[in-house]
Amino acid sequence: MKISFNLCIRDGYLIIVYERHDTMKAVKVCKNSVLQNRFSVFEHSDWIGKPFGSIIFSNSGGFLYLLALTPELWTLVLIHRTQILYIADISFVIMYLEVVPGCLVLESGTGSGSLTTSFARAVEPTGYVYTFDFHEQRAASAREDFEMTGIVTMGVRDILGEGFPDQFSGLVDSVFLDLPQPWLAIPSA
Amino acid sequence: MSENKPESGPTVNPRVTWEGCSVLLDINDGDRLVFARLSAGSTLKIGNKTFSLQPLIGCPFGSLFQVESGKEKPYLSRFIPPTEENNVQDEGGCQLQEESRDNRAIIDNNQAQSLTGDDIDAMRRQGATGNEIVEALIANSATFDKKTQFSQEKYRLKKQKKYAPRVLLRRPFSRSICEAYFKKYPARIGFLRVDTLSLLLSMANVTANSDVLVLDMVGGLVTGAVAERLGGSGSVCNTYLGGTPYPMEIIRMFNFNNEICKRVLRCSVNDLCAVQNETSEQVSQREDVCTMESQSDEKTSLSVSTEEVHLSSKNGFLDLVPENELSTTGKTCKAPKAGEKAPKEAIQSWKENGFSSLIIAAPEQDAWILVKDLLPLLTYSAPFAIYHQYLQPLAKCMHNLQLEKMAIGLQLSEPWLREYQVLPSRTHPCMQMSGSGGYILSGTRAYSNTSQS
Repeated sequence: MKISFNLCIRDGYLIIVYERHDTMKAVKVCKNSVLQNRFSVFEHSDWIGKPFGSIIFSNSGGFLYLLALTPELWTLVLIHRTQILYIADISFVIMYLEVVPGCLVLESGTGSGSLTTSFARAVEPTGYVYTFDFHEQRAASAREDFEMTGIVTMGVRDILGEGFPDQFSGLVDSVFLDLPQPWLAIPSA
Repeated sequence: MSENKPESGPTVNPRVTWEGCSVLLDINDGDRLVFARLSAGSTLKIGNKTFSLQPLIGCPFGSLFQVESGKEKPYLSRFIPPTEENNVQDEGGCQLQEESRDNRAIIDNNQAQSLTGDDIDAMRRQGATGNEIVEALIANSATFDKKTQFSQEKYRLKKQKKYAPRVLLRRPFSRSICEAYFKKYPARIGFLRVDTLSLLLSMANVTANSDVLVLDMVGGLVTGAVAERLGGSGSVCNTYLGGTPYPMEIIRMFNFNNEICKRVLRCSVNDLCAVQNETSEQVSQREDVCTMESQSDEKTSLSVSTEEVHLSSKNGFLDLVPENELSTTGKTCKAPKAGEKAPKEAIQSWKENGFSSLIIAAPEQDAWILVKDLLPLLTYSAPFAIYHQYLQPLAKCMHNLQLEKMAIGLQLSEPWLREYQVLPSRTHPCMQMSGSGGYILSGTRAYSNTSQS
């Protein structure tokens, strides 16, 4: 979704609600919902039709900014299920792996999906990201997150034990390993 | 999934060199980095000998080449190192167990080596390979056995670098180009280190299909990196103050195909800010006036660009007249040209939609003055990132942005990078570390009623 002057907030969009630089939340805009915080109650319907970046005031003098979703902001607001990578490391990894649109990237483990979202942003629209995690529940939560934010294929697999799937042999551009014993995965990678 | 991968794979992300492509040659494992353009006639000088680069054409990136003694003269040949991992592991095991030697008995009096320079030349003329010469040197060294294991390895490597140099063919990518320039000519890229560049790209959310506004006074490195991440969609507008565009010669190193080159456009700040009703005549008149006024200011950038023209490859690149689409290229090199003047439709579209992000890399300018003019061109809620070599101008800029309520989520960052040598029992940070890679101010543009475009 490309932001522009002509794009306004609509029902169903996932946006970032910014209170302060360290207090932000991802919220799905829903016509009949409200957002409650320590300032007051904000109705979602007030937001629909406003441009991104707008400031919304409440009756009691509090305010919110409504921002468009970017992977950087997503990293700051996502729910931590595991320790995540932050933007300093994420940017370094993407630069060093030379990821550009059209690349095929394999990743293990997914964790909370912070780096994965940034990979997805880097390879769109023609590339693919395949990410693996051996923990079923976290994989399911990550899958839900990706459906909300971007194009990623999530698989459940124990890379340390089984290695990467053979279908990728010879086709992959970059592999990222964030595992307790990465040297075991290297022959497969 | 192989059916889904687009067939234009080879041109999007080529893995093999071709005639006319630019490459980064890594000599002796990072000791020396050279940019070159591969053609039948190009050459490389190592030590006091010149080698033709012909054998490098058509090889995959990442190939290693070693100097071999040929019939007439030495040449570079492709070299595939044997799988040495097992050997290294065994050695590693031995090292940990015993090391009783040290260097107390070794006296440095220049008499340990019994082979003379003439002997070595004779061996070369007889056709001995580099490795054989190295072995001979080791065999004839009186102190070799007295050295510790680590010391022996260091000695062998040193001799190998001198008598059997290796050349690694590297693909020019934003990372390798930035590293090479940071090592060799950091002043030309405003001391922009690799991790700083990567932070700039991430913080400005550079992705496919976005329109990125870039003010690039670091030779085109940032513009090139952004174009790379766009991958042939969206656009990069390289903007400049006054009438003369800034030099952008680093872009040619990237090996961009036509699709990506088409997306790199140039437009002056005046054109972007101009009122829509103005005719093109008025705009160009204003540009001429600005050119005359800013001639004195642009002296620094002009002198930098003439220096580059002298050092650049045979293409004779001269970008000060953007209308000139056919540059005087050599017949063998067919590098597509990036950085054409932005057409009216593009400028119109940018005005209507706004740019989706902004990157400023102007190490010698005042950040606030630039931001003041460029931020209104961004669409609301668009991220921006500003690089500067020093902290003070960015601090002032941040303060002003807060006062004017133009941006939120403002953050001033200083990236830090340390390199390590990783070897068994010898892992430690490298002796020299870069002290500063600059600073970045990032944030998101906020909507304000007063600033209507």
